[in-house]
Amino acid sequence: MATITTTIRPENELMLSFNIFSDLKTMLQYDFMLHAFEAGTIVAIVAGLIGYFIVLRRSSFAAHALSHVGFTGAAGAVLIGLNPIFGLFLFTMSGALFMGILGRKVEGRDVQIGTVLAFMLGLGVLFISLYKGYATEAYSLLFGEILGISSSNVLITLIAGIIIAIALMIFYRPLLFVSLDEDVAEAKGL
Amino acid sequence: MEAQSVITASNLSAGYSSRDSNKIVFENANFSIARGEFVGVLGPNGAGKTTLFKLLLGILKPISGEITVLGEKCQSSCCQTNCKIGYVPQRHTFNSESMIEALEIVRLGINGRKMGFSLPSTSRRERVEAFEMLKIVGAQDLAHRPLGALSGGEQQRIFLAQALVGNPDILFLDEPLASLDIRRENEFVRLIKKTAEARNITVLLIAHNINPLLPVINRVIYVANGRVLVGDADHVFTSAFLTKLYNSPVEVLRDSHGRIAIIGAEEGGHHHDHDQTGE
Repeated sequence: MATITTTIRPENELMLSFNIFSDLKTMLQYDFMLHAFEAGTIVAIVAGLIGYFIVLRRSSFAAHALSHVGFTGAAGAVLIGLNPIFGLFLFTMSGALFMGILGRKVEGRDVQIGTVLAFMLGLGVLFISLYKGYATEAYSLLFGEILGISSSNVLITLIAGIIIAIALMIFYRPLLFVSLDEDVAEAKGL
Repeated sequence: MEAQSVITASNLSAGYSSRDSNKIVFENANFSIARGEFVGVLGPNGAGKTTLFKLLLGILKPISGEITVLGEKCQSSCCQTNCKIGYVPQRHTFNSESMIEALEIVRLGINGRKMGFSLPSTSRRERVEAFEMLKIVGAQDLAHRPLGALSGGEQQRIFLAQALVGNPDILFLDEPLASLDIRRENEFVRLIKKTAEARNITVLLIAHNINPLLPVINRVIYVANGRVLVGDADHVFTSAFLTKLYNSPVEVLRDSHGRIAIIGAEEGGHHHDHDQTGE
């Protein structure tokens, strides 16, 4: 009448020990996890630096819209057989420059930004639907795939992160002045 | 007198143009302001007081006419001239979540244009300089408080300190009294007058209420109805003058302390200066 329960564990199954250090060690044995952590850390640091100014300038929606512009650029690049990184950089930087040229006209224009955002998202989806390659690649563009980051992607993220950090170090004071007090900064010729 | 003038405008016209319309704000303004003068800039909402400041700062370009500030013709907001100008713009709110301390805001008046990080010794010197300026405006206790946590009056002192910290020759103050109560209005005006006199600074101050300015101003620039007129306060604040300026009946009343009330009179009603001093 005794009930015998058996647990079958495959030999290579990951065992969590509830010891955070050994668990981390186990996790980081895998390259994809290591890359995810590396890229995630770089992005977190850069986002922290940039985010301070974005919140100060109250342009978080514009920054959000830029990520969608980047998606469209990446999708367009994939469609014409280029590395999506090129499209992403080209579109986001052009978008940011355009917003910079418009200056104050962007402020509080959430309706217009939202319209551009929706248009860009639609355009990106159009590019993806026209793309005849693997669907997974297209979906990873759309939703992001942190576990699919290669070591070269980490390197690109690191270089971009370093450039952004150096630019912020150089322009920190004028950027802070303009973000806090645009009228006075403008009067001082910034 | 001409040699001493720090601001000169001749045949100055200003306006905004858009695709749909061209709006003239004022035309043919001629005035000259001497070093050390304290000038009140008055006029109704939307008359062009802030526009006048923006022209003098080189942020806006005039439609026609010429402006000379500190001996240089205003082309754009170039630093050579504008670094010698302290400017406190009109503002309604400051980001209340901003955790930047008041001292840092003042410090931006010194190093806001500098690229890169300051050396520790430079940074220390700037902080001392900024703190000294906060002492002058009586806000040393606020130095390490976040700007967002300060009241409107306290913020105005911080912005005044920021405008003064670069040792300006001219101070443009756009409605600095807007968020102050009557007592603080008078205190603030006296503070500006004292600091300006000590440093021989020319002050242009936009206000809606002339009364706190009456004891300190030398002259008044009145912007209304597309015109800019300059004169002594006694000359400008008369019923006849303002009626002509507004092109509508206006009455100027004075109480026994010389304080002024400007009242829009009904069309057709007669207007004259009421003097209730009993003399």
